Amino acid sequence: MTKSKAAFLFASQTLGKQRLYLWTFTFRELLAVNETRKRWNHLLTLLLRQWPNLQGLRVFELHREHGLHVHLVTNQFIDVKRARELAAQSGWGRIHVTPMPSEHCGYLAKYLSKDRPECLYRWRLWAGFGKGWEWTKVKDVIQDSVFSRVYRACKEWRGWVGRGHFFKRMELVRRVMISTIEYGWRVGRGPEARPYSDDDEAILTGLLPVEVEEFGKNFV
Amino acid sequence: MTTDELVKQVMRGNLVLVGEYRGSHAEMAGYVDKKSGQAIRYVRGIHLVECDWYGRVDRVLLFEYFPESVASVEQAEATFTYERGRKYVFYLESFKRERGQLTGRVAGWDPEPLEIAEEAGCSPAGEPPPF
Repeated sequence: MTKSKAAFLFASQTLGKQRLYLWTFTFRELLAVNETRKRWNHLLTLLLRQWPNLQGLRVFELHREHGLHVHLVTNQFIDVKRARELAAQSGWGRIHVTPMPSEHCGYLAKYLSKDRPECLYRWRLWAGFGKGWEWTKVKDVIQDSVFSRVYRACKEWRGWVGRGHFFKRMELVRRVMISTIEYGWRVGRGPEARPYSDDDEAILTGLLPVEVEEFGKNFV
Repeated sequence: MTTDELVKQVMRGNLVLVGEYRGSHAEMAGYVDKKSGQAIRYVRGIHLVECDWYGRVDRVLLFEYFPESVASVEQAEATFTYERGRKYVFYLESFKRERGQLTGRVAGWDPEPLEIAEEAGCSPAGEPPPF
């Protein structure tokens, strides 16, 4: 599970614990993804103008045959006939809506687990909309795993500040994590549960290749 | 599993990885929402396997996601009955190589130890040569 998917699931729980409505908006013709986004923005503006208190989440899905379409989860009943008129006005095709228990939001989250197509690079695959509620964002999610714990320990050990040298940091953390699994170290600690700093040289020279060793020294 | 059986699995199209088992770690991983305090938690195991990757030894991280019946780290650890240093056949659901690290997700079938028939260098002590 990715952080984005976890954030989406948290947001859907905040949106409603009772009944939600799942909408699917598609086009008659196959459109370029940028055009789809433009039309979605137009439709969302019209929807919010019609129902100012509408709250929900939208998910982009790039279908392998039908191109980009939009799924929407709302916590409020809206008139589907009026919604169809607005969709037609902004150039959309078929609309489908069905009631959905909030636990089924995992169905939408599955789209977020799929590999991101290149054309959607740096896109927000999902987002919340509407006034009066705060949906969970990726930055609000804390991850707890062996990797994240080792990362935090390495950050403290090497005194990392800022966000520089991301890939080199990841390389170091990954290697320390592998050693943690292989030698059965306590997570976030070195041999015999000592802090990494106590075995600074041993961890860097004994387990890591020269380039990572050099990298580590640069961060003292 | 013998080498012949392994070949059969491969020929059937099953995705397998053969490697030396180096260790495992079970964890209660998850996410916490800073705003609402809600949490999503799940138990998973990480197996470290060494295998040959186009001429060099590579370390592979294999993730195992447990069914809901395995609710604690201890229960997950109890399933790790593998022998370190032995070759196993891991059935994979998927794998990927990202930033030089090969990772995979193990399928529902348990890894099987690989039985490799070793060729004798000579006859046992006191026995005549076979031919």
